[in-house]
Amino acid sequence: MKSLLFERKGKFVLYVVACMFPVFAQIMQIGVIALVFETVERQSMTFFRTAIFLAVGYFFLSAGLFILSRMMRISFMRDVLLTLRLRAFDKIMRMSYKRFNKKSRDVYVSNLINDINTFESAFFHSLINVIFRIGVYVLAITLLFVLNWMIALIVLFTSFMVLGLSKLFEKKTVAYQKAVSSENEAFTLDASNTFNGLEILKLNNMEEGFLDKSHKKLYRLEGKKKGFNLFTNLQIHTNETLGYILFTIILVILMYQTQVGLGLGEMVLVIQLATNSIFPLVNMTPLLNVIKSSKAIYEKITTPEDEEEFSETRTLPFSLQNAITLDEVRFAYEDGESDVLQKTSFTIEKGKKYLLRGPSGAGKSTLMKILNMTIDDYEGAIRVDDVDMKQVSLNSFNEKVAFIYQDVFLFEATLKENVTLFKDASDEEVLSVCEAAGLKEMIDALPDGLNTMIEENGKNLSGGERQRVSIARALFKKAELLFVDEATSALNDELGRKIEETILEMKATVIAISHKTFPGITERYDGVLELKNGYVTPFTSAEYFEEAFV
Amino acid sequence: MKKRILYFLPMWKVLVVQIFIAATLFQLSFAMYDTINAALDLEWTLFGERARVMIMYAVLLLPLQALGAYARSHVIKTIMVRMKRDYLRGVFAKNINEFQRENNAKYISALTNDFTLIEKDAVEQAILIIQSIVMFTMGIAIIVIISPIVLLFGVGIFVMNIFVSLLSSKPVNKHNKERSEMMGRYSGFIKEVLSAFHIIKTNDLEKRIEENYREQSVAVQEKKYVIDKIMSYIFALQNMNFSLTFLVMMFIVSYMTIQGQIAIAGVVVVVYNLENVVNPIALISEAMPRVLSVKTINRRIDESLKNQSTHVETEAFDGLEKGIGFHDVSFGYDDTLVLEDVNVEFEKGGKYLVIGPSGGGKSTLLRLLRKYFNPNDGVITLDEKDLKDVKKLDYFGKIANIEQKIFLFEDSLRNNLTLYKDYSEEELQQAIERAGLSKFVKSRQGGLDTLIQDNGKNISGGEKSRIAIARGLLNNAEIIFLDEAFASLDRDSAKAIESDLLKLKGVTLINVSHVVIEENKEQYDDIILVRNKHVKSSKLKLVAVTN
Repeated sequence: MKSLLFERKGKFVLYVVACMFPVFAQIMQIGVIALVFETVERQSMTFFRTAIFLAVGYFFLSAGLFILSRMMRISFMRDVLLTLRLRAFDKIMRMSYKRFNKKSRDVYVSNLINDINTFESAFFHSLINVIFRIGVYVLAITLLFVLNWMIALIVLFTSFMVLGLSKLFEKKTVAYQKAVSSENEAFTLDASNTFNGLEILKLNNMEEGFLDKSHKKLYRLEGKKKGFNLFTNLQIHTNETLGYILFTIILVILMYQTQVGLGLGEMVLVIQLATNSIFPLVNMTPLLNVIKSSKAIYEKITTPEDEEEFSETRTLPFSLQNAITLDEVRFAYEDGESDVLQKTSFTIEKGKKYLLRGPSGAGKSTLMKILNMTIDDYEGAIRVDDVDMKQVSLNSFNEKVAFIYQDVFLFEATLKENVTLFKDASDEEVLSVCEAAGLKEMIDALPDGLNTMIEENGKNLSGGERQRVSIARALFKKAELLFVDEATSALNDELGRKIEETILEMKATVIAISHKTFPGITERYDGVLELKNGYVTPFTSAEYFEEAFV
Repeated sequence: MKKRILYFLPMWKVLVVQIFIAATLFQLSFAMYDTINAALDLEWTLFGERARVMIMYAVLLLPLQALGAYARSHVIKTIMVRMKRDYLRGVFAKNINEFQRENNAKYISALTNDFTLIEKDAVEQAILIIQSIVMFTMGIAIIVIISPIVLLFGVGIFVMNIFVSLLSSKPVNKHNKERSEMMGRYSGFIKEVLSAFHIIKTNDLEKRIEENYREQSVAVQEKKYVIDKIMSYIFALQNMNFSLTFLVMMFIVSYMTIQGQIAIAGVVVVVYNLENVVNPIALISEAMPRVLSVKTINRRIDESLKNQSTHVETEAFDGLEKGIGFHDVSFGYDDTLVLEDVNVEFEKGGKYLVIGPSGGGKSTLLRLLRKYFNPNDGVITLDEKDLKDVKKLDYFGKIANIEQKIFLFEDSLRNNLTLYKDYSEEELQQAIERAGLSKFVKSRQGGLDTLIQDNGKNISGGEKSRIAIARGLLNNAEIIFLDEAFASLDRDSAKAIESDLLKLKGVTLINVSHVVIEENKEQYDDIILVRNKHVKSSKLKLVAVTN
């Protein structure tokens, strides 16, 4: 965190200085108010004009300081946030695919978007407030000691007292906050469970009892929230009122001192400084907490994760001649409740097309990750012909496989580069794979053909065309093994059909997850692997799609 | 749902307490006025008395403010409990098919997120507005008493203020819109990059991607910078506005004092009450848009509770005599047909196995049978009646449902089985026996009185299924619908329970399942294949296959 702020030392110093500007503006304002009272006491029009003159000066100076302060701060904020974005992204890019796969993609998306947004909206706001409050407190108390040491002592004492009192309230508030959060969880869980069972409740005419139960939970939750609200409000109002009481007491003391010749202006100055120095330090905890949590966010999204080294035993090249065989493969996630795969054996023959089916959540994607070497801590063995998959080098494997996903990532580069992924190739070569991928019509329609630029993640390409680009990539790569994950799920039936047909016509061995069935096409898969409750049942396509299984 | 405004009625409590607080502050201001006057007149005995009164009022504020804090939290609680209670009631009153059309998460999110927003943006802000209005009125009253002319100036400046803030909001909106579009694209880019992580890694494209990402990030941050820059001027303008108001008022008051129109003590009181006039305006102008913004949430909530189908059911039903029949039934959600021209008969007492690939229409067939939906075309007959017209309450009383996903709740095992209906101990034991639950019940220390905790987290899937089956058996239903009921049971248990269920005499059983247990297949009267929108009864084919 420090490195993030201190990287640009000069700019950070400017930032802190800029945070002090509002402090001066505040003190100046106090001065102006005192001046007005001095005017009233002196009853002199010349002094009145001087006061107006000074007030106008303050008015423009404070506006100028405000703008200057912000300008000095926002460019620093911009640079810091940009660095944060880049570091967070860099961290993810440095991960190995295996490491990357330990968490769901949504976690990274949320790191890069939500976490950074939270940081952006909260961190600097809290930081400037902390600096501002400390500044006001120190400056006001110092001035107060210069003006009236007795009042200064009273204020110093009171400010500590108020701070202590706030800490007392805070404890209670935090306890209530925790209670609210756990009650909230309980209530949500209960409501969610009840909603899940609403069908049964209705079918059995027993809604009333459950409505009652939910009401009780609701009442408990709102009760805790009431406690939380009460203490938060009590704290705010007690402080406010203490301020009032102190104000009246100081007023009385000062007025009594007027007897010995204290001017009204100075009196107001002292009162204003006093009221300004009681509360800045109160209620800093939420701000400090935000800074702390921002720091935690920063560390979470930028600290590199430990990489487990791949064992050096992966030395053999990947070469598929006959079949990939799974022999009693069993797998469960570390934190998972049950096995995703329970001792499963089946064979994938070279050149054949397999469809992976099963209810959602059954572990289809996990099985795919096991097959494509992303997950390798399974029990049992996977053999490529006679070679243990755990000995196959990752690089040689990656050279021979290709992936087609639901989302296709397109670079802001030419269509050709998007197909070759920036490797050298002749136009003819690329054109021929594009033709095989069904992209010919589109290329012919483009004025620049293969050299057309793909804009912003390919917004000038349709969903079907994007899938075809990813097929063309696989063809260009001459991938021997193709993993397809819901390639057609975002497409309409007509397009989906054509894409599926193209995939089935490829030479590679294909393992595809898809929940769609296109009559007349999907039956052309050679085999269906049905995954359910941890078991894989291999079917031939005929067995699966025909009525024979009735 | 009730008119929303009615929910806000309890706020009168806040109003009353706030009026007391304001009255005390009012008294305090004039006590201050008197005290200062005494000091200026150098009457120190009087000063002492008046100072004591002033401090007394200040101290009185302490309990009053505490009462205010209590009133506020109490009112929030009352209002939120009522709102959420009515919402729950509304959800419970929904037609089950319409309820299920939406993801449960939608209702949960309404209960949590939407109502939190309502609480923060409507309820809390409304309270703030009430308090601000009271404080504002008090501030105005004090200033009017001391000098009405000051107020006149105040109003003029206030009108000017409104103009300034109206003018200043325009230029930012455009940029904010652009930025939110930009952020949308940025998120899209990030999502796609992450989904292509594998491709990037296996093709050594990190550099290129980082460059792309950098460009986009710079653009996003630069846009924010531009907005921040504009905001600097706008904020400065708003600040100037406030300090202008404040300064002008102060100088007017002090000018009038110099002219002898106001007492010096008046200046102190007016100046210290200026914030009671200025702050409420700022608070209200912030709170108002928030309160209004809740409108869309309210509409969404109301929308989610509305029942679309209002078909009136007229036919009573007290038991199946002949059977259920589908006659040219077609059904679809929105535009896509799920079942087309379905004709199938379920005779009373018959046992039917419904199979077919997922997505073929099995579950929809079952939903039609359970009367969640009415067919778009064709008729489903229950004996001679149209199922559409049969009263839900009567029909549900005669059917039992056994699902894969079993609903358990925090109560005793007994109540989870009986669903709060009265059964004799014998009936209960028999159902437990037949559902294969005896071992489970015996293994628990509390037996039937064991508390199911955490909605059955520590009960295995198989045991849950058995509980559901026992419920069905207990119910003595005439029609039993099984929906993938055996999916989480091992094959032997499934076989035994299925065979038990198939032996029930006079009970019509319709089992929708992926799992076909070969040994029990023969005991079904018919196996019905639902595939690709069509339904095929294999009564004849079964004979052919066995031959």
